[in-house]
Amino acid sequence: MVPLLELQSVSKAYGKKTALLDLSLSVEPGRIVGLLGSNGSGKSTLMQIAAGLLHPDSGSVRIRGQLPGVRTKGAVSFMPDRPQFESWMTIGDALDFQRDFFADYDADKARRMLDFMKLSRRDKAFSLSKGMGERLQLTLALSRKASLYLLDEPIGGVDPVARDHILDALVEFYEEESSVVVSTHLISDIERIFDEIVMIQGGSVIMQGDAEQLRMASGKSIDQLFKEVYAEC
Amino acid sequence: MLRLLKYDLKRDMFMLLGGGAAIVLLLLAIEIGGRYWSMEADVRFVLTVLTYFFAGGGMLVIVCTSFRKNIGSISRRLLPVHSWTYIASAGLYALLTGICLLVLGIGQLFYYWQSGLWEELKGLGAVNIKGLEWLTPPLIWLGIPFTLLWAVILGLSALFLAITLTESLRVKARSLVGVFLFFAMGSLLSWIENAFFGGRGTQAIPGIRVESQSVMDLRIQGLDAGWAAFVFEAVVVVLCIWLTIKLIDRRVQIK
Repeated sequence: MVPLLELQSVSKAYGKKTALLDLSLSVEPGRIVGLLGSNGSGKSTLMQIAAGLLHPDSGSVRIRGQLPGVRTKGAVSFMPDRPQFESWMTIGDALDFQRDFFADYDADKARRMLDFMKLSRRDKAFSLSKGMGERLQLTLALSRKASLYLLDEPIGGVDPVARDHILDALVEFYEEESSVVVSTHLISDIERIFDEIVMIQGGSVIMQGDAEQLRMASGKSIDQLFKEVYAEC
Repeated sequence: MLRLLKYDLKRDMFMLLGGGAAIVLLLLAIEIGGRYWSMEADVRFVLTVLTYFFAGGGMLVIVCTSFRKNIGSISRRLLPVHSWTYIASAGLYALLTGICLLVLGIGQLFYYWQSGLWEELKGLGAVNIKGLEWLTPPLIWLGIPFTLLWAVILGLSALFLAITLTESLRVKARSLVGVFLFFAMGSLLSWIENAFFGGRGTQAIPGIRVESQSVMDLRIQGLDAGWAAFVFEAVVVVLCIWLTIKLIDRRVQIK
């Protein structure tokens, strides 16, 4: 089976600063993958490369066997760590924007998500609080029937109640035959949903494996394991 | 491309409508207020031409700002569209706003002809159209729009390249670098055209030149230029667009 996302020996630097170094990763269909790492570990760069926003300096990236481009952008739904809607938009405008450009937009799912997230189409997107803004971002990302969802820090900076709501929405609305890659450093709240985890540090993978097997083998939660691994780095 | 344009227009709607209303009000003020305060016809004409000139400049700024926002905006860059569509939709935006201004200008010219102002201005020597004597009517009606359109395409392709270069740089004062690059490119093009294609122009970007001196002197350059110059400019346009696409794909920073 062709992996949904495959990175081979990918490196990326911003000037003299290395963001990714010889990183290889493969994501199979139907998996929720936790991309874990501290701030500046390269998570967002990896996400942006997979979303087709950045080009690696070396190595290869394949989405469903294809090079990143127009076709893969139609198959990948990316939730960035900053607002992806424009300042003039209402929530309705932001959803219409998705509808107009993405063939896999699901209007019915978007409507259900708006209800679930307690969002109104008439509200101005930029006037939303941080938590409500994250809910909108997730609504925009999950309103599509994409093959691969890339969620960059979906619960970063929101209160615990909003966090739970966002995670519930993620579990409720993601497409089961698709894969989800969630980057985060807030692990304890989110580790329950991961099938697989990838820990990166300094732009390289330092640990990778099935979440349940890692828990069983170490006798620890992923959060404890993460703290242990990063304490050593 | 049209969908991108739709959202550009929605985003800039208030600015476009407000700007359009301001231009119409200003033109009315010049014409009606000018008559009320006994302003000479040639003075009103010069003020009117200046209004159109600045309105055109304002529209160009709006189009360039829209292009700059689009190539650097994460919401636009995530869309499954080819990079050339950002250029094409911005070009279409410029064409659309230009047509609106042109329609307004044609309306005003019609008013000038109907009211006899045009003959009065010619009598005063305020209007002097040179360089078109050899053109027969079909050529005028085909040649003028084509020359206008070509000047816009050439100018915009150079401008878009300069903007994209600016957005690709990671240095301070990159806007100044962009402005310098644009004028350097324009000067280089003019120099090459003067040196090798019989002196087509000396301004930054060839096309129509309005000289505002004691009289309004509208010169339409390029209608009589050779095919070699046209082919050269076409190659420049293709090169600019190709480079812009490469930079959007590879180098432009996404905010």
